[in-house]
Amino acid sequence: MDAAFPAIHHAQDTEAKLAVLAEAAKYDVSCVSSGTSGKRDGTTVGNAALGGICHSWSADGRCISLLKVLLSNDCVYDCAYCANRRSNSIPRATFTVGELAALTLGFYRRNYIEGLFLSSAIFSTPDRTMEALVRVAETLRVDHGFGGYIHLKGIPGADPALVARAGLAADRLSVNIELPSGASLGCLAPQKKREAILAPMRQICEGARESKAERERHRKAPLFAPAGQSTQLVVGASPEPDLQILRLTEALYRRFELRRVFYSAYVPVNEDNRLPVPTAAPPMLREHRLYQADWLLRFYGFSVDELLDESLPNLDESLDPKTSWALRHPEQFPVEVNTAAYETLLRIPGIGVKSARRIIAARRHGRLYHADLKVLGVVVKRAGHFVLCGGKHAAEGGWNPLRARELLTAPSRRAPSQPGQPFQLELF
Amino acid sequence: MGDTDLLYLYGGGFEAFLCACAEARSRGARRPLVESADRSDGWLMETMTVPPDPDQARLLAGRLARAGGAATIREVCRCFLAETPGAESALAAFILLTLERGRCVLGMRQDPAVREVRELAQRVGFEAHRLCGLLRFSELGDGTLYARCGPDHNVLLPLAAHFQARLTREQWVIHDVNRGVAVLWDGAELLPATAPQSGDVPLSAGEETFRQLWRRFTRSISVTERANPALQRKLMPRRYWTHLVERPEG
Repeated sequence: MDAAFPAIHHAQDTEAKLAVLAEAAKYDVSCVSSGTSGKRDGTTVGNAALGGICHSWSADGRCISLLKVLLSNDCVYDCAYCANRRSNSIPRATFTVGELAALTLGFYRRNYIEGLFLSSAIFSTPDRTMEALVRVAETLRVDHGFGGYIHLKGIPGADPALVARAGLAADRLSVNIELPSGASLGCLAPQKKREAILAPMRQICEGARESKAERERHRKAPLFAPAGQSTQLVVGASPEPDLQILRLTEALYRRFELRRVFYSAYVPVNEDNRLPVPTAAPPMLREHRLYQADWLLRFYGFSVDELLDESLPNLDESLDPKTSWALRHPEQFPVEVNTAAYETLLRIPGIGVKSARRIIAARRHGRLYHADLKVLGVVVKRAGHFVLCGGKHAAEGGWNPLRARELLTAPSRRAPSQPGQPFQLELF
Repeated sequence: MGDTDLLYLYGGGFEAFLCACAEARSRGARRPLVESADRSDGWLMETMTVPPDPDQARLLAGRLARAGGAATIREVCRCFLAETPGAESALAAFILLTLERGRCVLGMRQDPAVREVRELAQRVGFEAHRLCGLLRFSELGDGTLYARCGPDHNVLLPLAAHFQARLTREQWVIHDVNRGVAVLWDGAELLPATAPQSGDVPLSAGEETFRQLWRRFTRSISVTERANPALQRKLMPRRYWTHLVERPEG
């Protein structure tokens, strides 16, 4: 059994490299292993789980699902916000293909991970770097029959032929935009040109689309990035308001068919006069609100223009975006839960996708009363203001938008927040 | 709570339970009281012990599948695997209701029995999913992969199904130390196995290396500026830390 899997020959060296190259990769927040399922052809070990699987959680509360490392942190670029930039003096390391294969397979068999997330600093040229990444993925797939999840980073400026090979070996590809505007890119990461980032994204989108169409005609046609594409935006390193970030997000979902956009609260690692002065803590609440808004775009049928505009360019920090929208549109409420359409139920604060579905299933069996809502998973503290059950409102005086606003924004309802204390975060 | 004074006792596992449901149904009960014979202390009540009968059980299962579909079968199995004392009555009511009204019973969360069944099924499914991630295999000297777990619910079979598909060509053992049961996959078949309840097992030469590497990785990957041990504990409760390789406490 052991001979089939590569061993670690120099454990101490590998461990030292792993420490450096995992630490170097930690600011890339994409951790998901979802988006594709089943077994690839030629697999001898492994498969993918459609919803992804979390294998552990790190001390920052984030899920660990993949072996997330850089192939090398020896970068020739000098981006202002990056810990690995050329002008920082930090230990530099580079994995060999053999080491990465041994680590990936060894961890995978022991069920520590779903697969590999491989990025890299640009050593020598974008093409050389991209080629090295692709080679690791191809070695795993072809030489070792690895069927688990592989997420490869696309290197901006890499040759399309290399991106094409990457798509055939990986489940997901991503190219990090990082900075939400051309101006900020030009200021903070001048070596990464906007077109160099967008070109591979476009290519991945087209490649995935073509492969999907081809597979509908021929079942054995090759898979190209079956779990699609994602990207990352850094929040707080540059002055763009939430409106701009979300407009970019919306365009990415619509035009490039991205599966996910990740937001990463800016963590100051370098001192640089192009960057904001480091404050007590990274803007995690802002990041959290952006994720909530992102969910509204993808699952709740909202468009960015409904949530924000030039006169209100930033999300309310004290309220979730849906509640904020609802309080600005009192004419849409109250909603009768026994008759409202699914799309309308989704717009009620405190009602999520699951509870909306449950309401629709439950009301087939009889009329719903306010007491029923809680067991269906509705957050009654919020939704209670906005709904009617059988024509009746939960409060004596009926629907009262001003009282709703007062109660929902009352400071006693907020979790105590001390400066520097990270917020406990949960999505809906 | 039940609509007769009769307490149906079933001796044995799922098959016997289905027979008890069939018996209750034949007597016209709609919300029968059902308990496992070895857990019951219903000596104040009139009881009826229902013996397991494979044909009866199969008949009821078939009717249930036709009435409620695959989704119902999945909920029923999961709820039973929860092994929650006292849940059998709710499950029996759910089954009888489904035989009467069909698949739509799944959505009838206003009914307390339906709610209890769905909540337990969800808990079992969630624990199985969580353990698919948290289970840690150790490579033994002979190349077998061995994993221990201590789940709240009986999720051994869902776990085995997951790893059958993932590690098809390997030989592995999953051991539920709480219940003292284990399964072995030898590359072709799933078999019951025995394993020592506690203590060390003979590891392969490379095993400690990988454990050490994994511990290093999980420490290095954390963003210290976002330290949030409360969130970590919430998503990965302490009771699952016993059988992990990494040390979340630091």
